[in-house]
Amino acid sequence: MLTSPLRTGGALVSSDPEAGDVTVDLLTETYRDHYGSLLKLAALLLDDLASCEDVVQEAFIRVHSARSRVRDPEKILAYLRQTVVNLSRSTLRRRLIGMRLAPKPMPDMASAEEGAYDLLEKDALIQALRGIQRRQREVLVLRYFSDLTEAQVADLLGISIGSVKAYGSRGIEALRVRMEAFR
Amino acid sequence: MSAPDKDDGLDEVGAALRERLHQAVSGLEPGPGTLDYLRRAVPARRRRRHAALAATAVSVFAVSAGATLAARGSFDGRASQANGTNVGNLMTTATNDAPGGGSGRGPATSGGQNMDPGGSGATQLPSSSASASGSAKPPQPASSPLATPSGSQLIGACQNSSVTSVVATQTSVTGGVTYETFAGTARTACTLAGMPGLNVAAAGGVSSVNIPIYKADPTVAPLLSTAPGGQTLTLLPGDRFEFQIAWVPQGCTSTPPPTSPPSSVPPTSGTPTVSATSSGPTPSGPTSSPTGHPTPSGTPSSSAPAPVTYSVAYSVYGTDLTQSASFTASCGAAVYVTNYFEDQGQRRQGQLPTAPASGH
Repeated sequence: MLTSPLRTGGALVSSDPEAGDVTVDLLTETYRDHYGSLLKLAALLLDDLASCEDVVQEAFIRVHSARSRVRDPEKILAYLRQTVVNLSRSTLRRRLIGMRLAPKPMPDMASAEEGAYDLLEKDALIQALRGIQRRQREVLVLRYFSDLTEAQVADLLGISIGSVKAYGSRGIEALRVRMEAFR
Repeated sequence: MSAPDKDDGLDEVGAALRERLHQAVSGLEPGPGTLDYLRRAVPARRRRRHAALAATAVSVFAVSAGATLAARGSFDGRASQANGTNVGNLMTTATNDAPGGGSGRGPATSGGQNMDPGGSGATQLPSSSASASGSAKPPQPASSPLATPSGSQLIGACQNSSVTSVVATQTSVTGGVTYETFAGTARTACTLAGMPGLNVAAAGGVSSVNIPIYKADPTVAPLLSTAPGGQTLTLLPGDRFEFQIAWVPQGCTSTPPPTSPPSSVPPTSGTPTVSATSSGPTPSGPTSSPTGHPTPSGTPSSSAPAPVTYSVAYSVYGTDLTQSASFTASCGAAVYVTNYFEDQGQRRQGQLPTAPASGH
């Protein structure tokens, strides 16, 4: 458990009694606390684990390299979550363009990462989630996976609270339809 | 279905969705070595960002500096093409002795305009001074700006503030003629041209209007020759300059002294030609020299008045006196002065003034 955070030389340093009073910097602390949840968030927004890792690592690099501009250290998680959402959108958009331009693969050609994503591929919810609209997916993931309030989701996505409610209810309905289709 | 029932239904769906979402990604863990990669990547990204910022700043500074230099270069080029109205002329013609005035190289418009009033006001100073006290105050020549040997910098005319330690040394007294050498050292780079500005004042309230100042005339008083004659003397910091004057007392005769400078003195702006025009008290007529200059050939009569002490003061520029030398004369005198020349000790020692060629 990290206690008594102190600012020394621009880096947040805290002592970890359980780890033998080891001082860790802000990057390590943020990594330990939030990297896993952000990786899962990216996995729900994207459709492959490799892209999830890239997106979360890029978000960590961007936020921590510009850490001097972060006025409130408590908001680092919010910055990281916002960056992950934005990078996920960019990745999906780029992938869609690539899919349009790239030649279609042979029918019997297996994906290189096929074995690594077996766990995700077998989950019907993940499959159904990838089939709904991007806005609905973002609202559902942020609302029910990241446990953000409607106001926080609205602020993060840059939309109104009413839009969050609308995207949420329509997303749940679309998800239900797709889940029943899988059965 | 009532609203609470609908909310309960949404809550149940939400709870189930929340549980299913967490369950779906529960097996995801960060890859090995991710933290080490981030620890290396964050400082590297920061360094790249700083390097990019520094490169951008340097580029912006270089472009702006280049543009500024180019603009100034084109402006100076235009100014130098305009005859008589460029920066150097405006600054060097100014005769006020403001600190730094004329020795700097400021912006053409502001510097020139600031110095212009001083220059116009001071150009009338020598004539008014001469008419009031009868002494000559040769105007400083309006030298054009000169370039250093490298040709990269303009040098203005010397001011009092740009010259230090002017020393007046009496070289010799021969045949009643007193030779005085003024030597000075330049503090900053500046130029001198023509004859130095002298101001003759009499002690005890005696008018000094009968003390004309002439250009050096070897037939009257063989002063040191200036070489190269007539050229502008460019002084660098530490360089020494000299000029020499000859004090030629007049004899107490009844003949009035000459009231006009000899025609041989060129009335150029670079040489002082102002002389006393009003008649002095009981002037003594000098014997005429071949050039019409007064010579110290007059023999004082027995009823000659008591000697009067005169002070010949030198000013590099303006009216602030820099150095002075005292002389005596009973019935007036004349001052002959050389142009500025470089301090050459050997030449001065080898050309000690001899006796006047005429009048004795």
